[in-house]
Amino acid sequence: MSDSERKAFEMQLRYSLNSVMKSGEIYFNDEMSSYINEIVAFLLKSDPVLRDNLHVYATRYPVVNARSMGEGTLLIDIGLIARVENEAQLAFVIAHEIAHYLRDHSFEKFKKNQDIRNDLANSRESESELFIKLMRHSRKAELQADKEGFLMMAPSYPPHQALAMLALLEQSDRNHFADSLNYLNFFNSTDNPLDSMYSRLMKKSTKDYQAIEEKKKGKAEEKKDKDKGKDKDNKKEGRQENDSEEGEDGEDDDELETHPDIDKRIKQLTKEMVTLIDTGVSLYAISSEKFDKIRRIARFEHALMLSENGAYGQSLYESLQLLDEEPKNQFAAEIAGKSLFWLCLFNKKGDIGEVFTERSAVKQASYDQLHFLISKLKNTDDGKELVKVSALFLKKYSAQFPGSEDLLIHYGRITGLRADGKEESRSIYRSYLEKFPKGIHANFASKQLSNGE
Amino acid sequence: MVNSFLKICALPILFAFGACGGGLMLLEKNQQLDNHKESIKKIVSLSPEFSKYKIGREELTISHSEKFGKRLSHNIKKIGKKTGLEIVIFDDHELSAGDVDYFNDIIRLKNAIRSAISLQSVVESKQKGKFFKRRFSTIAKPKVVVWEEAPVISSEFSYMAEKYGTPYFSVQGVIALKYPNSLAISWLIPPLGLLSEMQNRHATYYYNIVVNVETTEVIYREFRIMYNNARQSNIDPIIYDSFKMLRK
Repeated sequence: MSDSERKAFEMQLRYSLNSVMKSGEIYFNDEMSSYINEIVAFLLKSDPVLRDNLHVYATRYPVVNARSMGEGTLLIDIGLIARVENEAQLAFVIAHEIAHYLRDHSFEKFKKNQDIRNDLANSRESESELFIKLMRHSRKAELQADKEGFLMMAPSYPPHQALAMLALLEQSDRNHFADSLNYLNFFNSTDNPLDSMYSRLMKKSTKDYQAIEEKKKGKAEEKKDKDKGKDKDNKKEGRQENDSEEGEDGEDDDELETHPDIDKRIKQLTKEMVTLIDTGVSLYAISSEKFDKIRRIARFEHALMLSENGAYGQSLYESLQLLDEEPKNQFAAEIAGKSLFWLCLFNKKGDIGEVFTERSAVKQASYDQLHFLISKLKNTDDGKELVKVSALFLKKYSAQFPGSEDLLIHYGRITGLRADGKEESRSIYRSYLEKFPKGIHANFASKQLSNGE
Repeated sequence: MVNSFLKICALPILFAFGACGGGLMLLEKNQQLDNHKESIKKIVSLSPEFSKYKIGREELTISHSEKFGKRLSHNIKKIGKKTGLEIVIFDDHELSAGDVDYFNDIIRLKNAIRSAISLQSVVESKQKGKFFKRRFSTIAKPKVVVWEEAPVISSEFSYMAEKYGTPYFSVQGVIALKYPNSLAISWLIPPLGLLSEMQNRHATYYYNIVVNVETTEVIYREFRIMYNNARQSNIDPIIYDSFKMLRK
């Protein structure tokens, strides 16, 4: 390792750390980070020096991910905290990241990157070949971190939870929410009942979705059968998987990925597990109550972060699911209300596709149903129905939660989107100012009233 | 006749050195800006950014100069004063451990503005003024686009108008680019070597987005490219002109 390389790496690292810390995406002094730090202290109880070198934070990134920055800073994304099923799974992720730090993988990756750049200038290898090399190196580092992280967490937590965590990563585009949700519970209102159109839509949506799913299932099974057939043929011809050092992770569908195929990762850990004796340790070394609490916080924060990142379709979906789980939760209703307002606004501008993506993000029937419902509503009469239904939602919940500033102001804003809703929205702003004269939206409400005069 | 001859002779020289200047500019205003112009006296600048990119043959180096960043912030403030604007800078280079306003207000608003700009499309006004007749936009004669519907942000930031004493907040920055020398080996051949030296390998981008947190609308967005290096003496006039255009 040359000094100049290390220096260049440290410069880059400092730049990245500086950007991340100032990005507003890190939680400081919060319950989630302190719980994660308790797990770190527990995992490293026999190594206080290493423990003191680590700085672990929860981040606002709504993705199922965690990373080691390279000088002891570990970042655990809120998307991951919201998804894990127990403390042991979280401990495996943390141990995996500690292993990356101990093995100095960030620097290794940086060096490999530099080598590849040099190779690109000097060798005849193509850019794509060099990229594949870099990815192979990254996958090897991941497998190593899996193995060492597993050995670190295994004495303190049930080892099979590491496998469960990997399986969960495989399904990161699914979530823990219910597969079906009756959206009419949210959008119906007693004083202004929706006509039967919506219930027809929902039935149709469910039916359509089931048909699509069945079709897809059939195709997937067909493909699986075909692949199995191919495998058999390959084995017959003696073309077995290459287990050499270079091809440890095979030369197949993950060659363009930074992480190895989950099956390979599970296979590796299963081998390790054979050597371990089950000591009957608990899933929770710190506390199951604390875990449940921070996961609940993470789930609400996740929905909020989706909305702050402009993924309004997903944030609406998650907040409605949370509202279904906890009907008296004002925070969930507020996120849903805000998301509806932004969906209506984007629909008016013709940009709704930017903020409400189709199935790619969430592979869940209930998400598809919501997507189907919103799509139908937005297409009716220039989106008037979507605005109407959303306004009813906001009206209903601002009555249920009279202390919510967000619900009332968005009720006003959404009403103002209607061509004939200006006067009504002004009266809502007036009642907002009466109720919350010093509220965070008060300047906006007064401006709207003075503009109309 | 002599004059024309001189002009023709001067053309190659002008072309040769022409690379030192020139540029493009895109200026967009909210239709409501006319109502705001008089009242724009103070703007809070949300941590201006200065980034440098060096494009090599095989790689792209990104550097973040703290020195340049600090100087940019200082000059924005100074130039603002000259144009009659009070500019308050929230500089992330000077953050202290207890600077909660930066995390609670500044960075959240900055992210909200960026998100609005990147996700929302605008509706251009059909109004036809002299600026709209221009087919091309240059630094000297910009084509101004007026929005009928501007990008909007959440109203949850409207409390900041009272807290900071102004509803106007801006996101500003400079991006400096340096391209590789395509005639690097030409040093061996003297006339080509001279050409290589004259070749402009710099581009400087300047952006300024202003939002009114009370109306929640983005009221002004400009983007300039100057084919010259990011020397302070080049950037300062751009900032000056930018503030002037904002109040024009």
